Amino acid sequence: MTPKQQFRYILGLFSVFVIVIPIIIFYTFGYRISDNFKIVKTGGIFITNSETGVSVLLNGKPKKAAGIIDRNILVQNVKPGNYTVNVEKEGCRPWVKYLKVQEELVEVCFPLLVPSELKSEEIPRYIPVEKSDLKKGAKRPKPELNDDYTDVIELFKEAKKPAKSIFPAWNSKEITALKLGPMRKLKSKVFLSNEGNKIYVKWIGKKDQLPFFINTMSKKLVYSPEKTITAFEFYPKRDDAFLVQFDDGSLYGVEIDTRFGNQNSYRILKYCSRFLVHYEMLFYFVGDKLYSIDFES
Amino acid sequence: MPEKYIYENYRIGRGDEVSGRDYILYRFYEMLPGVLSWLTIILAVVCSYIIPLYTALFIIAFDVFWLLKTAYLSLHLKENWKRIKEHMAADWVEKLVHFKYDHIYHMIMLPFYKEDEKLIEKTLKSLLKSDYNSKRLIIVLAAEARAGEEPRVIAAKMKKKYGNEFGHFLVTVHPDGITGEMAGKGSNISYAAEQARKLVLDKKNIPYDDVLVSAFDIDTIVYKQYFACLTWMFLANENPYKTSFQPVPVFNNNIFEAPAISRVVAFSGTFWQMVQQERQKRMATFSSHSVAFSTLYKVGYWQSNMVSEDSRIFWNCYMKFNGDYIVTPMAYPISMDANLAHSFWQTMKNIYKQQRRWAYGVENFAYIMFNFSKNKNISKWEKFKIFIINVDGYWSLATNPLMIFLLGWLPIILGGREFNTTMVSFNLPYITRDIMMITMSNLILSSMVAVSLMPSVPETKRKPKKFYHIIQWLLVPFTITIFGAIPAIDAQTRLMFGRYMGFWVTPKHRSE
Repeated sequence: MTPKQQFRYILGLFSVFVIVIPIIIFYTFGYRISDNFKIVKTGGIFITNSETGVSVLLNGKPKKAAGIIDRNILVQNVKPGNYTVNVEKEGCRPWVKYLKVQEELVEVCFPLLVPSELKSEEIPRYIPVEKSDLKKGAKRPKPELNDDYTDVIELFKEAKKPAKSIFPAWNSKEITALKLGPMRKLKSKVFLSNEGNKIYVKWIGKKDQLPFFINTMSKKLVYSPEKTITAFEFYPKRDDAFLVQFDDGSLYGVEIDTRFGNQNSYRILKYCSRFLVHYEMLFYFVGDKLYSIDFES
Repeated sequence: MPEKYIYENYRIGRGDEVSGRDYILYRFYEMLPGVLSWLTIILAVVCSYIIPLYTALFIIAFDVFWLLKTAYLSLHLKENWKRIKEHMAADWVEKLVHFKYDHIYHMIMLPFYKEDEKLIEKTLKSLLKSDYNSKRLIIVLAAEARAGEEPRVIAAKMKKKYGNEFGHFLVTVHPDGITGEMAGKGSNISYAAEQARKLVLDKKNIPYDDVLVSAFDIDTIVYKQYFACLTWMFLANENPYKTSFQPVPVFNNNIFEAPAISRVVAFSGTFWQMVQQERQKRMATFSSHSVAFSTLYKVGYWQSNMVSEDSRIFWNCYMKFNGDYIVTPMAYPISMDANLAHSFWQTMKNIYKQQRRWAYGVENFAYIMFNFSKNKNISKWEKFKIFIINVDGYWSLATNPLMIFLLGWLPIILGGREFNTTMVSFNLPYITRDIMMITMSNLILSSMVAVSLMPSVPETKRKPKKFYHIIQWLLVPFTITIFGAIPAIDAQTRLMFGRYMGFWVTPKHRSE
């Protein structure tokens, strides 16, 4: 390639750079060209999401859906103002928030998508014996204990004991001071406590990592129901929502985020005598029968 | 009055060979590339924390710059590809008819360490097969005493078998432990060249000006018309004693046996050389190259006290002739082995070590700058240009892939809550991703060039699917980071701390 050609290419590409950079930077800041060809400042809404088939509606109009790989949804080009945000997924209950979008800023949402029909399965105490397995006239064998059942019972027993980390070194003074137990729960750095039938949240992590759904470093009241709370636990696999059981046995899923004056809560069970969350599984008793719900299926 | 520059006084290999103020100056230049690279990485982290917004904007601008730079380099690649195809199609023997060239000898330096006999034989056979009078070829098979008895036996066997087929066939054994030398290719071929001068050229009264020396690796396979092409370029050159001839190294010898990562790394090296062939003023010699014997003799052969003798020889000549020296790009390929070992992980380790050794070419920077400080015959503007070209080259190699593929996320991770509510923070990953996608589209050209440069599939091999050879280019972000930036930082850091590297011989392995 001749030096002359090289110089031409450099000049051409430099011109592209000089023209493109301001355009991209203004775009990055949220500047857009309106329908009447005026430059307007916009904001955005970011939906934290890990599921497929999720779509976002602003003021009832469909805006964007989750991608195949990147499932988080960034709705851009939103003019500053108040919006009703609906996050929908087929087979899930509707999630609504009322947001105020500001120019050059993004509001972050953490939708709690609860399936419309939760599939519960009974975990029998004994391994069931099929009639066909029994020989005619033979005695019914002694029932064999179901390992799954005994494992869950162990988990219920463990839950009654004071919470301990697997590695003693992780039980820092700070965590010990939280006095974790049935009324005081910790997940990641989100601390929930039930004080006088009111659920409070406190972020115990660093200030610059404070999640948007808490939004303050002080203790914050997030739930104050009329009914009496008998137990609560973090929502399976989430630290931005919790399950709460009332004295009538009903179990609700509630999001921690109380911003914008709307807190979504959903009834999960009409009745259970006690419950336990283990990773993505919810185990609960109705009478002496044990059931499970897999929140990942 | 300024001190007269005597080139021979400054053939320095490393900082600890000089003392006093010269030591401080040399060490400063040895440290500079590493310091700049580390400063960039540290600044990227610190700025992402302190001024995340401005850092994010810088990253976006840098990504666009990288996209345009890639496009610019691709234009060079395309141009050189066109030229290679033309040169490959040309009949250089026919073209030589217009010249008197019977007096030209080619001295072929073939240094080896513990390589396999078959590999050496294949190299010799390829030389015999070339379209050039083999009686005008002087083979110098250069063994190492430290490698033990076996290489000498192999060399003797080769001489016995092929000695009569070439003009001259000299076997040299480089003694071990010569004071002031570093064990490696440079010291071996320098010794061998001097032996060849005494035992062949002087004995047979062959003028030094009539001998073109090709410093090859033992796995270098020449294409049929390599020597005809080289001879033509030498004879047609206006200043043939003030230039080195650089072919394009392709790593085709075992390309179908090497794993995809090895292939991509190998071709990336080839592409870089192709791009450089179109930017003559930025070129230095690399790996296999050719130069007139008289020139080589004047500069004292390859430096034997350092690692990257292949590129240093260019800078030796450049300093000796006060900047009046250039590389002539041949746009004609020679084939070598891609990295391949007995196991995948060993291959990966070998690739890393080879890339680190190549990146250790950064040791030339101190040599150039130090000599510039002594040599007043080269203009300040020329020195400044070379300084910028070198700093940009070493800095880009070590930091750009990290900045593009890893550090771009830092403002989001370290920027804090306030920054993470801005449109810029949320747009950053999407915009950088989109720019990267456009940049990656340049790989389509890369894959096309690679496929066209590959040899036809041997009948003994299962035919590889074409799309596989295209898909493999998606490994580029990984290979330029792990086998580009990291070994470069490794090499620069070692030099920065004065932990000088030795010569690492790339093991050669071909499956049967």
